[in-house]
Amino acid sequence: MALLKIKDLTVGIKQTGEKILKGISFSLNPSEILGILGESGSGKSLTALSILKLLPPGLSYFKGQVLFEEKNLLELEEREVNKIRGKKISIIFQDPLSSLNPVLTIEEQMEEVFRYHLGIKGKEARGLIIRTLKEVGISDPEFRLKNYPHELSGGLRQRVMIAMAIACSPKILIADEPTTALDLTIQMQVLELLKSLNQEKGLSIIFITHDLGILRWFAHRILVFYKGQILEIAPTEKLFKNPLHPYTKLLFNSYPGRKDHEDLNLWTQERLDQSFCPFYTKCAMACKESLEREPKLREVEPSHFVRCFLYE
Amino acid sequence: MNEEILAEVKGVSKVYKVRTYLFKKISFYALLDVSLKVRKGEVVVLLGESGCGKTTLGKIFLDLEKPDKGDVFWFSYNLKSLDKRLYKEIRPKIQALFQDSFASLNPRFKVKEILSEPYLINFKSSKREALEKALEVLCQVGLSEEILERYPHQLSGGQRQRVALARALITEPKLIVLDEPTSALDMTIQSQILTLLKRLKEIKGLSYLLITHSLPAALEMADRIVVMYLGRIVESFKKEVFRKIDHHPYTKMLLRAFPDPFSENPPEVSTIKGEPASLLQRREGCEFYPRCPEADSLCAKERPTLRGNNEYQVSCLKRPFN
Repeated sequence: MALLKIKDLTVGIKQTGEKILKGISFSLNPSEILGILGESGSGKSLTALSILKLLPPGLSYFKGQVLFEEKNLLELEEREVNKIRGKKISIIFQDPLSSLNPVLTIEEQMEEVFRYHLGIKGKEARGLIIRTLKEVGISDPEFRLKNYPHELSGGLRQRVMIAMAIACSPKILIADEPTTALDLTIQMQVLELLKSLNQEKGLSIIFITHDLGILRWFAHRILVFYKGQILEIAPTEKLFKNPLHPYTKLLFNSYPGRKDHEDLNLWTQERLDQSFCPFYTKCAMACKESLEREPKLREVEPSHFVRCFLYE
Repeated sequence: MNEEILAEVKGVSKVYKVRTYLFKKISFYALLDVSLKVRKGEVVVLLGESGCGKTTLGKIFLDLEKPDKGDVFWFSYNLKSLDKRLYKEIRPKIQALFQDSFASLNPRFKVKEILSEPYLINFKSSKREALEKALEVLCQVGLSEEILERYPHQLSGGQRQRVALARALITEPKLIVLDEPTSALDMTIQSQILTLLKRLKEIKGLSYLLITHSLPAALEMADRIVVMYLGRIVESFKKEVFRKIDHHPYTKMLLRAFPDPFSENPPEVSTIKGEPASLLQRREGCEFYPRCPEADSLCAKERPTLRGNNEYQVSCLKRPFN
């Protein structure tokens, strides 16, 4: 049974009716780390935000469902969504400094989480806070309680963010580029922490990044996003051994040292875009069919889905 | 010697001051006794984590920052004793390309003005000549003529970075300092820019000082890789010997921890110890000591120096030369 199911999620600009996410469908299994791979503007962050009904102003839902515990989150009242947000589904972002309140100490920010969701305050909360901080690998947490966010290093701040996100033992953690702003060594330490939360507590993680290396060694399954659509879905090993979609292949070949990129420059010459395939303008294998109808996401091998006419 | 040295720093240190509380200031060394040469036709890569001083060193090479100690040489002229006329003549030969091209291009200038301005200033040419030259460099970076009439905000990130590169090229430089030139770009665009940089280097015989924190980009581009840690060079080696040498423990840690998507081996995270120390609190002995898996009691007391030969230099008591 899938823990979270997204069905035909379509999000766009309210005024113009322009679609940004075009029919996203996928599911998240229990204890799974699901990677979302995509370049800037591909809609990967917007997908994360729309799962929690956190759409930026001006955007609205056109279609679709977000099914969690037999309820469609998109139909729930704000009050009810608040009970799920941060308690059952948490989210962490790239820049912890802008997500933490600069005028509250670590203890004050974390107490808020326990007070709001679980009604625990004061001394009792402090014990829980110290325990949670220990869990995310912060040494001497008692000493950190009185610190303000600016007094912590980047790695510690991200750990505090993770501590707040897992404080109520959520089922799902959405991590939107959580390590992009960190140095390599710190990055790997934070990933290791997320991995251990996944293995020991069965936390399911939706992990959004553009970093191939991190997804390769961290995610169980990967969705490849492009221009608001999913182009390919596959288990990690399969995807890296045998990428099917021309876009995925291009991404992999763009990795420094993989290939001489002489041919890449050719691909940038834009074709007139009148096609139904989002990748048509830059595709090395662009086909006639994509001028006539839309390619569908199809299972071409067991659990390997791809949206491309080459495999139809 | 046919190895012409384009730019060199010798024993350079740089101090910055930070205000901690009202009038209380403390100073710290962002760079400590760094020496480095860039030879003709060579790509030197500065690799390191944030705060290790790689950008500061790049700025010193560009004469955008003055070192507090040590000397900077351009074409073997010491900048301290260079007279103004000669300085003006060789200044355009050393150019820069930064990470954020949006911040480094004037938003009120059209691309043709952005490109021709440095040419008009440095070569006292006519406007027509400058425009012709602008078109030439624009072609070299793979952009077409219609871009000339556009403003920076009308360009994509990749196009902006190409324009910034064209502006660097228009003065016919010998050396370009590239400070994280691709880290703000998408993967596919990144590889295009790196390929373009490599091709231009071949055609024009350029040299680069490439500042990056990306290991794959460093290996793709470099002739020589220089690893920095807390304001010092801990290791410097030619790319040919990359697989052969016993690396500095810090470099080893980076190499092991790096998640390579196309390798068979998963990253080793257990070897990472702690976080980089603060530049404000320097320690006796080796600066990497608290995080080093190979350290012993001698490392806590004695500071290693960068020693070695032309191919490989390292600053570690547990390695040869020391």
